[in-house]
Amino acid sequence: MASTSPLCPADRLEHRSDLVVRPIPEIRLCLVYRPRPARIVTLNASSWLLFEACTGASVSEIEARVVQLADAHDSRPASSRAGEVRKGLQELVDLSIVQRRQPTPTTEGATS
Amino acid sequence: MNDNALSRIAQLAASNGEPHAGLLDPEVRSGCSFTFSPGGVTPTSWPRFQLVWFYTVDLAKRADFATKIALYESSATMTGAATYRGTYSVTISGAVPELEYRTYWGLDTLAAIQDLNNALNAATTGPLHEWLALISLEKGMRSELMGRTVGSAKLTG
Repeated sequence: MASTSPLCPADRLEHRSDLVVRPIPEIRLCLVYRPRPARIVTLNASSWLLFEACTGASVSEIEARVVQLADAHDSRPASSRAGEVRKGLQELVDLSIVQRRQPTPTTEGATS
Repeated sequence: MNDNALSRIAQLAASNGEPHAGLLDPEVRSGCSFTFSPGGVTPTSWPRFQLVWFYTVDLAKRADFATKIALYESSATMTGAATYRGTYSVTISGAVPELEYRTYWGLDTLAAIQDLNNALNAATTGPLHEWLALISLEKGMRSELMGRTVGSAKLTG
């Protein structure tokens, strides 16, 4: 697994656009084919949830959303899940299937 | 993905514990595991490559097979770029006993596999033909082409 810099709460995350995603809900898995370098990544359902939540939102937004979604089904304390979410997102970034969204330059030269 | 779809995945994840993502290492069923370079010190008495057949012989034909192998090995076995290196029967194995026989062919170069194929095809009579004819064509039988490790390229696999 590639070593990447730790995620910050403000980092915006999105899937790589060149992935082939094949969910297998019957066995609570999702397979992701990642070209360049070509590998297949397996995600358990918890990791799959994080992966699907990475649509450009910030790390803190994803954490809040995933913890909220999990609240309905998971009886563990939300605080323990938040730590797992951060670790899980980092894993997806390290495996190069999720990437930090590059800031978009504005006309004033600032970034958003 | 909408919230409903995410919620369904969250439901699946409820009994999953913490997230885990990992690389899938597929079992290699064909193709090369190691590539080879021309280098490496190879004694001339050792072939650079070996082709190994893994196969079985029908129970009723095994005695005949052993006789035919003995006949072939006492005759002029294959020589040249492709050489006959013996046929062995498994004595003890840690694997399920399905394919009990191995035949080893030595190859000077990868191109010598063509010489081997030509010689096998040309054997329409004689001891070689007779023992080849006793091999059972079964699902699972296989062959492996192996190169000497001293000639293998590094960092592949």
